[in-house]
Amino acid sequence: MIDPGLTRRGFLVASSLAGGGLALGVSLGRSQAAPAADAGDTAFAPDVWIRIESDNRISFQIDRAEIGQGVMTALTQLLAEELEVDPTSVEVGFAPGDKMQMVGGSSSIRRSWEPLRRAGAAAREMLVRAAAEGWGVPEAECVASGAQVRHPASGRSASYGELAARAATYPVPEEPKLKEPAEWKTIGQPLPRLDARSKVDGSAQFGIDVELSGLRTAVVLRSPVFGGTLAGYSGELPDDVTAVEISSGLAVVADGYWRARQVADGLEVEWDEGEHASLSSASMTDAFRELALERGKSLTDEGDAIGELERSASSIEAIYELPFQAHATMEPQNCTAWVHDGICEIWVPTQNLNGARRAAAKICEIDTERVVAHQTMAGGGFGRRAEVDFVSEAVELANKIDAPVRVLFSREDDIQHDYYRPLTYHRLRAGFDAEGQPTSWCHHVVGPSLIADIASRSAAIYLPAWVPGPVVRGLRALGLSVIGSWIADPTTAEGARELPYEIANVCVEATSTGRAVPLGFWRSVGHSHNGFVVEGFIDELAAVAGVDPFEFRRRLLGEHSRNRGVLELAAERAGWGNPLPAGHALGIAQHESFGSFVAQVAEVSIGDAQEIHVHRVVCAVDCGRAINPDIVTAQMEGAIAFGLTAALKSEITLERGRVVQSNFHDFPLLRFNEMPEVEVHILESGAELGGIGEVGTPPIASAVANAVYAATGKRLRKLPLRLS
Amino acid sequence: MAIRLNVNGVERSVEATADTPLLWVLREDLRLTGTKFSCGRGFCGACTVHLDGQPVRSCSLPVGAAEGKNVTTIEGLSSDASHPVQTAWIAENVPQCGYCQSGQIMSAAALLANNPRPSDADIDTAMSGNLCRCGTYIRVRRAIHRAADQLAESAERGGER
Repeated sequence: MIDPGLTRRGFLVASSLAGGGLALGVSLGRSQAAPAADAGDTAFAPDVWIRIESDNRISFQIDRAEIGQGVMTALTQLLAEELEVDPTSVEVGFAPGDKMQMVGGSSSIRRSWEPLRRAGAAAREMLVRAAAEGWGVPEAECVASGAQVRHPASGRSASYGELAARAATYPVPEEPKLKEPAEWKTIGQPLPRLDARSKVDGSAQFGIDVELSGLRTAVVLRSPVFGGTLAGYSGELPDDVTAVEISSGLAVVADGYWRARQVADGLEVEWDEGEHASLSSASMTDAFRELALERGKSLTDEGDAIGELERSASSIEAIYELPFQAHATMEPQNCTAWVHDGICEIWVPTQNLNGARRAAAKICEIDTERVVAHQTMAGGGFGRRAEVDFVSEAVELANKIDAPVRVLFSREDDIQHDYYRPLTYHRLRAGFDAEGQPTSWCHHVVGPSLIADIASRSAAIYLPAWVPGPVVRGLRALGLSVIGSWIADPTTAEGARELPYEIANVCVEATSTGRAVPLGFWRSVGHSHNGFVVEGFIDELAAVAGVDPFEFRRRLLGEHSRNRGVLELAAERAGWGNPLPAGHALGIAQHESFGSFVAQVAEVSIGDAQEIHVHRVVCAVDCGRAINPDIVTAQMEGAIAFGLTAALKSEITLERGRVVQSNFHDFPLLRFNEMPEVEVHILESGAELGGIGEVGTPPIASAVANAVYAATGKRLRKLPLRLS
Repeated sequence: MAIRLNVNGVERSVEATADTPLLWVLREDLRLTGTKFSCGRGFCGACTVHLDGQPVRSCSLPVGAAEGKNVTTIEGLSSDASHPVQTAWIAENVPQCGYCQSGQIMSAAALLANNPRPSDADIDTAMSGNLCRCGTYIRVRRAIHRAADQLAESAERGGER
C-alpha cells in the first residue's frame, strides 16, 4: 500500500522520527516513476530525506556528489528558501546511493529545482498548520521564518522542533505554495560555501582519508597496454606484503601506501600485451583522416549543403584536430572496501555511488542492498569519477583478503589508466556567394565512440541514465558489441549538430569508430571539442567575409537568441573594438551546452618564444537564473582554467599502445602565474534553468585561438595550440 | 628505526626507514590526513608543509631529513581555522573540491610569514608550484592580498597598544 502521506504527485512522503521529529522523503525528478517500476506499489523510496528533530536540528541528505561544483551549498539554498530556515544551520550529508546517484550532465540543480523547493514548502505548511491548530488560530495569521512559526497577533511562537511531532501526523500538502521570486531570501544570493571551513582546516574527509582499524593499502600494477593481461611476475615479496592477482592486474598489499609502492616497484612483471600493442595517436589520426574524406552518418541535413558547396562562388576547407585528454583530478582515484558479516562496505569519492554499489554487488555476488556505500568528499571529478574501475578493483581485492583494503592510484596510474576524452578529427567546409556571404556549412566529426565504450563496459552495471533513450535502445538492440563506423554517437557531434548560425545549407555528419582506448566523460564531453571547432571555423568564415568576427556572429544569430545575448554582453564588457595595449589582441567565441549559453572574449599576446599569454577573459553566462551567483562565477573561473590546460598545455598521446605521459611534468596543468584575469557577467534571463559545472569549458580554447589569429594572422586548428 | 620530530608543537617519535617520505609518516603513522598526496614527485604542491617555517613538499622529503626539526601541517596552522590565511580563504570562497587547498594555504602562510606585503609578482613566485585543477587561482590571489591586509591591520592595532 502506498503510504497515505504520499502526495498525488508522488514526490513526497512524511513520517515521524523517534523522539518526536518530522521526516520528509523527497523523490527527485526522473525518479518519479521509480517506485512503481522498482517496487510495485508496496514501497516508496525517496531519493533524499529531510529531517526536523525535536531539538530543532534540521538535516538533509543530498543525492549528489560534492566534487567542487558547490552542490552542497546550492541545493541547501533551494530547500532552506522554502522551508524558511537559515541555510547555514542545516546539516548536510550524502545519501547512501539507493537509487541512481550519477553526477553528470550538469544536471544537479535542474533536477532538484522543483522537488526540493516543493519539499521545503510542504514541510513549512505542515509546521504552520501544527502551530495554528495548537494555538487555535487561523493558519493565515501565522508566519514561518528562521525555523520557527510565529503568531504576531498574540506574540506566540514555537520552534520547528517543538512543532515537528504534530506536523508529522498530517498528510503532506499536495500543492504546497511556492514563494514568488521577489520573496526569496537565499536563492540568488552569494551564500558562502557550506563546505569551505572543512576545506581550509584539513578536516574535510576525502576518500584517501578514510581510516579503519586494520586497514591495508594496495597499489595495482596494470598492463601498460590497454587490454593487456598479466602474464607473470617475479621478485622478492617480504612477509608483511601480499600480492594478489585481480582482473586488472597485480595488487600489492601492505600496511601503508609507501611500503606497498616500494615493494611493487621492485617486482618484475610481465604482460601479455594483447591486440593493441601497436596502437598510436598518429596511426589513429591517419585512419581518421581517410574516414573524414568519406561520408559519415548524417545528423543534420538542412537544404543541400554539399550541392551548394560545389556551386558556390568560393569555398574553404579546414581540418581541426583534438587529442585525447586526461581528467587529472587532484585526488588520485581510490576506493576502500571491506567484505564482512555478509555485507560489502565501500568508502569512495564517486560521481556514481549507485553504480559503485552495483559493481560491488556483482563482484561479491550479493544483492545491491547488502552493499553499504559511504560517499566521501571528492577531490575533483570532471567525469572521471563516473567510472567505477577503482571500486571494482578494491572490492575484488577485499573479497580475497580478510581485512579492509584501500586501492590507491599513483599519479602515474591516474594519468595512464584514465577514461579519456576521445581524440577527434574534424573536416569542415564552407561555401560563399559572390558577396562573401556563407551559403553552406559541412562538418564531419570522426572519432572513437565514447558511448559505445561506456555502454560496453557498464551494461552489466547499467547504462548511464543521461544517455538518451533512443541510444540506449539502439545499443541494446545491437547487443552492445556491433559498434561500427555506421553508427553515430550523439556525444561525438553534440554542440556541432545544431548550428546556431543562420546558414541556409547545413550538413553535419559523424563517423564513430571502434575503440581500443578507454573513453569517458570529460567536463562538457562532446561540447569540449565541438565548441573549439565550430567557433574556430565560424571565425574563419568571418575572415573570408571580411567582417569583424563579433559582428559576423551577431548578424548570423537570431535577434532574440540567447546565444546572441551572451555574445553581445561579453563583447560589450570586454570593450570589443576599443584600443588595446601594443601586441595584444582579442578573440571571441560562444557556445550552448547543457541548457546554458556562454560567450567568452580572450585577450592574448605572443611572447618572444612564440608562447601564448592569456591576460584576461571576459565571460558572459546565461543559465536562466543563478541560484548562487558566486558559485556560478567560481564555476566559470574553474571551467576556463580547465579548458586552458587543454588549450595551451597538455595532451595525452599514445605510442605502442601506451600512454606517453605520466605525471605533471609531461601532463602540465595551467599554473597560478598563467591564470588570466577572469570577469564573469551573469545574464539573468529568467529562462529555464541550465547547467553550470561544465558550460564554461567549451568556448575558451576557441576564444584564445581566435585571439591568436587576430594577433598573428595564424589560424591554429589543433590543440594544444602551438605557434612554433 | 625511531625518528624524532616535532609536529605541530608536539615531540613525536615514529618507526620508519629514513627514506620514507615525510608525507606518509604524517598521513599514515601520525594520522594527520589534512596533508594530501597527489603527484608524489614534488610537482603539484598538494603535500606542502612547513619545515622550520619554510614550505617543503613532504611527498619528496625523506623523513630522515626532518629529524629534530619542526614540522607544521594544516592541522597545526591554527586550532580553529583562525589563521589570517584561513579566514581570508573562507571570505573569498576559495575552495572548490578543496583537495589542493591545504597545500595552497601552507604555501601562502609561509609566503606571508616571510613577506607580509607581497606584490603580485611575489605571489606568482610563491604560488606557481601549487597546482589546482578546479582553477581557484584568482581567488587564491585575492585571499592572499586580503590576509596581508588583515595582518597589516592587526600589526597597526598592536602598534597602537
